[in-house]
Amino acid sequence: MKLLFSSWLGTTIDNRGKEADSWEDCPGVKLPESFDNKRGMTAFIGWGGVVVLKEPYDIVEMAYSYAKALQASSCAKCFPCRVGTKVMEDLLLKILEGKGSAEDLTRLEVLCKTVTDNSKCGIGQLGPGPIADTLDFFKEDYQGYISGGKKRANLHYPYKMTAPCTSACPTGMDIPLYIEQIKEEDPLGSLKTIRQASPMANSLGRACFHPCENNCRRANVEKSLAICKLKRFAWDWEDQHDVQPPANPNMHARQEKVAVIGGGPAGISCAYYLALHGYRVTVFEKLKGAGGAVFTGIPQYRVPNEILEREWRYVESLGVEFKFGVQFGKDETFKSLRGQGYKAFFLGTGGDLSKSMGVEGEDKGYEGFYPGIEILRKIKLKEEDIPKRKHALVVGGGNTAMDCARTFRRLGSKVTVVYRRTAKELPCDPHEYAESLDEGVEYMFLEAPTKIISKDGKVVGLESRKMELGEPDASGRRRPVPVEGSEHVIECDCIMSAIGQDCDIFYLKEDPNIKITKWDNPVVDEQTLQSQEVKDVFAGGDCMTGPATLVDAVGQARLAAQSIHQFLRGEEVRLSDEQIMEKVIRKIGAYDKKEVIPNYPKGWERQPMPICDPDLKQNSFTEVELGYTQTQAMEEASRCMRCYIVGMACVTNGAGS
Amino acid sequence: MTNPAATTEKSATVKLVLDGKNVEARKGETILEVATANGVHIPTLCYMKKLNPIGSCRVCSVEVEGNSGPVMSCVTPVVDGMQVRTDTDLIKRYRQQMIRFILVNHPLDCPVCERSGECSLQNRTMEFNVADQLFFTTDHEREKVVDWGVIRYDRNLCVMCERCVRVCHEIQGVSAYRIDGTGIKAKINTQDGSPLDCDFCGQCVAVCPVGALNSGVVLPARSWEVQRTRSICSHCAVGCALSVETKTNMVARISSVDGVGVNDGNLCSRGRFGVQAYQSKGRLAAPESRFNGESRTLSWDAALDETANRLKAIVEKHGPDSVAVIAGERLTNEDAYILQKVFRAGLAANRIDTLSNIRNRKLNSGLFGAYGASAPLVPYSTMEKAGCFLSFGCDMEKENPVIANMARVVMRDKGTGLYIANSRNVGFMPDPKARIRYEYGAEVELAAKLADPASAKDAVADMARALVGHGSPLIFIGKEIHDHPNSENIMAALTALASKLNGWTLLYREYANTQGTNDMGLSPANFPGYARVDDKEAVAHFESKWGLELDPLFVREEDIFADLESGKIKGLLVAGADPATHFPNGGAALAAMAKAEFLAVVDSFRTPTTEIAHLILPSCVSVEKDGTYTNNEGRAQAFSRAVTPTTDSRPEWRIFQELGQRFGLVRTYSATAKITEEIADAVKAYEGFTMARLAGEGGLAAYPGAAPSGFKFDKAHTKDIRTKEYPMLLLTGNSLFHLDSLSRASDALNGIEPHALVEISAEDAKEAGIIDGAEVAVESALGSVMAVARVDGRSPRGVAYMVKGFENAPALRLVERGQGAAAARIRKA
Repeated sequence: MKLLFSSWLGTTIDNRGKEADSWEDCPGVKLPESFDNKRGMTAFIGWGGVVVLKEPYDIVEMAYSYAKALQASSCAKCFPCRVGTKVMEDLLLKILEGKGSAEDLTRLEVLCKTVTDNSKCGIGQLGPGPIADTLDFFKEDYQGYISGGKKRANLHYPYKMTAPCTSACPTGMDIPLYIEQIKEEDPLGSLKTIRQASPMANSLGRACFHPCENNCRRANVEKSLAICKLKRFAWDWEDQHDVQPPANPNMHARQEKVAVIGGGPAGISCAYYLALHGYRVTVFEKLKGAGGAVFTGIPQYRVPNEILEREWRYVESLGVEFKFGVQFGKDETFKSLRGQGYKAFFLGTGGDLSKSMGVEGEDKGYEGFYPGIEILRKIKLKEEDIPKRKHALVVGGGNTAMDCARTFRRLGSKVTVVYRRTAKELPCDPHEYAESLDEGVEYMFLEAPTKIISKDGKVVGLESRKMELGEPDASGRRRPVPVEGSEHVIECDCIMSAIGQDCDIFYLKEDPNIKITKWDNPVVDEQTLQSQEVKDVFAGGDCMTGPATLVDAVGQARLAAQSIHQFLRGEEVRLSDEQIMEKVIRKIGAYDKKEVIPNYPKGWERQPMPICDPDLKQNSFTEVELGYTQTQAMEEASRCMRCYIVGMACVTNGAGS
Repeated sequence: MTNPAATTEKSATVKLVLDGKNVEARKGETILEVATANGVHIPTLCYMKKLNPIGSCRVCSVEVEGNSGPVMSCVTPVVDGMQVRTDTDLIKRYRQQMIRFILVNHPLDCPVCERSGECSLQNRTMEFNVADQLFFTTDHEREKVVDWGVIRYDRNLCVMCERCVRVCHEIQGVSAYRIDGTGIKAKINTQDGSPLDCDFCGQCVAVCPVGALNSGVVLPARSWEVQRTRSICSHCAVGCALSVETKTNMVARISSVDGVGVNDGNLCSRGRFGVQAYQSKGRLAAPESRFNGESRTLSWDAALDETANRLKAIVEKHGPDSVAVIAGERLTNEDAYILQKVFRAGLAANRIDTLSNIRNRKLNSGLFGAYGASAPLVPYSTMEKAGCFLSFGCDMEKENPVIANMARVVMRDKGTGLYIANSRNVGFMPDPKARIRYEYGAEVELAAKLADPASAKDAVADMARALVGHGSPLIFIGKEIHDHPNSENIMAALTALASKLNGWTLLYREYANTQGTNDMGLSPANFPGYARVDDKEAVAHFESKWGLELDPLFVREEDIFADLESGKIKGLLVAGADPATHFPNGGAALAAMAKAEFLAVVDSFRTPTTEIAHLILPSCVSVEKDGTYTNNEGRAQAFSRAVTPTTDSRPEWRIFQELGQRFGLVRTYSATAKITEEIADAVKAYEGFTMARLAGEGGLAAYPGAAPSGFKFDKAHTKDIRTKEYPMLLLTGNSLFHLDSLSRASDALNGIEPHALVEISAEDAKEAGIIDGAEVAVESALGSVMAVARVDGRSPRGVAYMVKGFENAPALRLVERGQGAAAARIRKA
């Protein structure tokens, strides 16, 4: 983007004194033009350097505010950060007050280096760097204060402490803290931290897509931390010991009733936060158990339902009522529930319709053809006996495809995954792919199905066309292009489609005021998740976004619960400055894949996850991963570098000049 | 579990270069550990071997090839090919800077600071030659915390190393502390900011590297002024090593040293703050006679003459069985050995007993006869091999808290799981894997079920299967089981359980030398080393060792108190025991003792029993004498005199020896070490033990080993003694702060827990209209004592637990002989 100055990630762009139309572009920095719809944003300071977008700004005042924020964020667990940032703050204040000297600048430089090199975590290691940048690049601004005369601009400096992993997590979980608590032999404290962000430590710890691990700075040293599985360790620890999970001190402290539609991850999470606020929450779920896609779609060998049940039972124990077998839109409606006194609705109905492949024969009801998520549900909930298949094909390459494939391996079938790109483009978790190979799942890449071949109403084969990779598409993956005349038949007696899900939001017909996207998702404000037309309706999770991840749903539920709370309190439904900062930080990017980490030697490898007996793994639905032992968990947690960072914006009242 | 590489690879070795030298290390070791093992000094401040390293002080930094910044050696494991430099100019400069940061605003209290001279900050400042300050901040207010009981905190001196936070969490399991606040204003605080209410073990004070955490329980002394004497704690049977710090013959402080003794520097409240007991004002000052209700002081010679003559006269007139000895279990092995020798050889008197032995002979004098190699005493290090822990009838956190410390370390380092079975809701931190509460009296049935889960689907069967899954349980058996009327069956069932699962049992002993007094033959049945006194070979053995001829000795295990009551026993010596407080139906015991024609009491403190004595002979406490104790494990450990007695008291062995001379025994001993030598010569289990050898790690006694095959037991429940009139079951035991006259003599411990507490359930309390902290009367058919109610979740409905050892509220006086609990009622006082 075009900006006045940037030292972001070591690349200096300096357009000061140049005409705006001759400004050099800065491709490495992405920042919003304004802070929110009322306030402008003119500068940003954080772990990667200093960015000045435009006037007005006061670099010394910003450096001082930043040092002050570092000091306030310093956990006090090491002296260089605890005291060093305080010394910096005091020196910068002295300069701002016009009492500084050139010697103070030298002292500041020494301090920045010492604190950077010696601090225990990111606050001290990465915080002083941008202050040093201001000393390097804005000498004249400092001189202005030292030689007297320069007056403070008195701008606003909202800030947010986060970490690359935390910033990548839709729930905003304090990951370094919960990891540190495991390291310090406090699994219950760790679980408490996790539960501040989500009640679903179990599901997330077993089946999260873990964007955190893709944003883990330890990967810059050797390999990312097992953040996801450490979460599972904390939950398992409570589950496997004689411990009462914490009670809800605010249970039913408020009178307002809230209806949560859908007992999946979004619904459970939203109900949880609202219950902690004291609301009386009822979850309406059409199935016989809660957990949504985790309950019906994630196979038993990844998340056993007995364990899943204990997770939502915990939310129930906090004062949430679960009503099962209630189809919203039929058994209950907005009208009926409003009549029963419900003051707000959270829609978290997920996406449980299998997307059609657009292939001839898939709507014929052939015996042996299954929509992927349906068959997974039938097997997990033991709804019907599935006949043993000789050769099962799975069409698709995502996690649902992996689940189908690995499930059918366990049922004794030969399984082949048919995917239209190559192994490199598989959208599933790489770990799932590796496990599936291990379990004997076979793959046919660069294949696109065209027709289901049947005989006597039974599936006997799949006609498919060869593909080759062309130019990258919008997602950056190379687009598969059909090879003309390459059609051929793969013999099989079972085909599962696992190329995606659609949402079933028939219940929205009741209220035409609620807008719907062309993909059949309710339209809500993207900041607050509130329907702008029907103000007591909020939505989150797959039904709002289309098929996404467990952790996205949980994160949106947390936000929706906050909005519902504001709405029910009659407050303005909005994000806090800290939440806006969170978004700003996500935009500029809290994690830099190329960063060189100076003070952690390479070679402390990730703890391997113990897995069950290979026989059990292939022939039963026994949970594959056994979970870390305490010793393993504590060692794995010790690898965490506690990469806390502070990002701060310079904000003007009004849109800024 | 298949292939958790983490555990298998730990044994792999890695090669690295340390300051230019090629060294080998085990995978998983930290740079600091490897350096230490190779004699390379890396300075530290927050690091402690027994705690998880956290890398907070940033002083242990080193340079590693390939890394531009300093690397903290305490939290960084070595990897193959690593090149480490520990003393570069950069590192030295940074270490100085770290100290400067810590010293910003550090008050110049060194002249008055308790830790001056033993302060890590002083030492590092000097070591790094930090002679100037470059950094300044706005000063912040002085803040001292003085409402934390025996603990005081001065945040301005605090270096935020979190040693206190860590030791309290990892080793004490209390987790009382946290860092409160951020930045420079951060401080150590209690979890909720209210005054500290904890175990008051003082572990936090012990680990504080500076003077931030202090106890008020010290005499003003500079660290370089005090003399340090290694000792063994006499407050319980764990056998913790102490360092007794003295100045001008006064005990200034009790400390402990990491890596020394079984306790690795850990101590409990009694061990650390029971210090004043040693030189308290309540000590007996001089021999005292109280014939005809008239009390007068007399010389040692007169007192000893009187005692010897009286006992001799009784024996001459009524025979040797008319004299008895009740010995305390804090006597040293040497005291005990001389005591039995003097009475057996000098008077042919054989009715020598301890209160524990009278209560349960099978687990004392009969221990090895009954259990042989399966006897419930194993080295504490067995914890490291155990597959899991089972705490049975045992309140690990309260009974022997330092054993709980050790267990916690093993649980932390090896992930060993704990299972609890108790008649009350006793807890443990970190939480046990599972917990079962049984009805008092149903222990055997439970133990049998734990050994045979069959197919039952309940909590007991789940626990049984878990025990099988882990294998090799170490079963901690509490004092409740020792005192239980059905102890024999329970012990047999637990021993069978342990042996079935290839595990072990460890029985908690009450006193510092309960095991040793058993070993030394303080029983009517055994010579030292458990040979029967009516065994001819044994008699010949001791005749040859003692160089004299013994009159025939007869095993007389009849009840001493009944025989006192009936007049069969006319002369009694009580040495370091207080049956009036520490024996069931102590009131009856007191009345029986009062009937003796002659009662002499040897003790350090005044007790209800000394009050009825004809003669009182003041004895030394442990810090005033040399000797050895044998602990829970069967480990004999030596301790040396740290101070000379400030009163006219004498070590017991000397008192007994002088009586022996008056009984006509010729051989005398000039020092304790000579007795230790004789024990080593005469007692097989103690062969090779000398004071010198026992001064280090001590020695595990080699007990007679033959194990009976199989343990039979009767699964029947014991009768519930509760009645309509007395509807509660009253159990008794120690608290963290009190056990007996020794703890009761400590101002600090009395300050923490001034009154006998009785724990009752909220339901029972509500019914009786009692609130927490209320004064209550605890009554049984035998009488009534006053106590303070503690309403908590530890006692289930219908069960109460009372702290014994308060001579002014003797709970055991409510318990019938032969019972482990009383049928009682509790009402508002």
